[in-house]
Amino acid sequence: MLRCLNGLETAHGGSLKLEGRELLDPKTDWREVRQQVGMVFQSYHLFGHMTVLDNLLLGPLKVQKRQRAEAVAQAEALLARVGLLDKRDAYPRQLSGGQQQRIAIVRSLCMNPRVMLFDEVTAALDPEMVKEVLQVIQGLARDGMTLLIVTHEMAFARAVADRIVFMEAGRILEQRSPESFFTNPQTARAQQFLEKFSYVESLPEKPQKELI
Amino acid sequence: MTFDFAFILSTLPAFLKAVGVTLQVGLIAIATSLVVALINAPILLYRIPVLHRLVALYVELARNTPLLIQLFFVYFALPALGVKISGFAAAIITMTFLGGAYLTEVLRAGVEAVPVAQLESGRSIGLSELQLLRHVILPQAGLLSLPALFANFIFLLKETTVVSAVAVPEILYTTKSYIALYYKTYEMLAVMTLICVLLFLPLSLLLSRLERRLQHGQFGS
Repeated sequence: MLRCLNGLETAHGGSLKLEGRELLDPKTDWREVRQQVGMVFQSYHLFGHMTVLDNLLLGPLKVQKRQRAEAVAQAEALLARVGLLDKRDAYPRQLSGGQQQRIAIVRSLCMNPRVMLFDEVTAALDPEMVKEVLQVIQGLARDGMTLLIVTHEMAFARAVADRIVFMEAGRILEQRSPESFFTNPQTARAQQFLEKFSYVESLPEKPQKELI
Repeated sequence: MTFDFAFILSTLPAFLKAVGVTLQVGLIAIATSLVVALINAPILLYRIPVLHRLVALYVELARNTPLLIQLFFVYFALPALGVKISGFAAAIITMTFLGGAYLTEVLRAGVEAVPVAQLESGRSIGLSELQLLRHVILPQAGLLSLPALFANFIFLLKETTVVSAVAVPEILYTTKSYIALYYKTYEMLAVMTLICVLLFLPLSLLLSRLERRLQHGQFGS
């Protein structure tokens, strides 16, 4: 679904609207939409042949044709915010997965998007690095930015989300508030899913995780 | 058997010239092959109708026929059809025919080796296809192609020995001439071997160093 929202994949049917505009219209200018809809991928996908700063500036300078000084100032401010200002001249290969993912988030933010899409952004990270990335996302959520997050971090989804969308095989099965989804799922598939999840959660001697 | 060093010394000026000819044929052929590859690779990659089939046919034909036979075709068969050319021109044409095919494949493979994810990543920040090509695909494909590109440059330089068959006075031709004239077989073969080692080995080392430096600089690892 996220890939459809960004035009990387074509939807089979239905309707996608961004600020009242239908995106599945064949006349949609995806380049323009993508500047408003930031996307962060599971495996970061930074440009390996460029420094961190060049990664961040490519969009603002080449796509949005902004002034270099202003774009650099914004990029540095955002880097500072995710605690990676000292890495501005590093190459992606020199950074850890968590650092690369935070840079990837900043790369999207530099375009000043209206919406951000997060596609399993912590799935490829080891647990210690998950936290630093989730903190950045949490900060964005607190600022009131619209975020669409695909995740298997259930606790995170429950804590941060305003709405949970439960999907299977490309279809939306359930769509409700986090509290009601996690405490009282309606579909059998969601119940089954949460049961499995709570079983894993309860393994390390913490049986009462209040799920189900 | 005695080794006639005085004779070897007397042939050195001629061999020096031969090295010059080898480098000349090799470097010109590399340059023209690159031009051919730069035209052909995009045709294959963008699958331009009709043309990409012709290019694919050319690549297969050039890579699956022996260089010597290609050379004989250009030098002996073309004059029969009314096109008369010098040995040197035949050498360049044939080497370009072969080298162009190999380098086309190298460049095509380089572009195809850029991960799809990098393209999606570029599109997701709104890059146009042209910007994507310029800022993401070409720089990365260039680096990915370097090792194979350099290997093929050296391959082409070495293959220049084949053009001795049409009387281009490069290293092998010079060697064979001296053997035929003076029967100094061992001396001349030794000189030729030594020249080849001295010529190609440092070049090989130089190119692999250059390749490492470039990759290091670009990826900073």
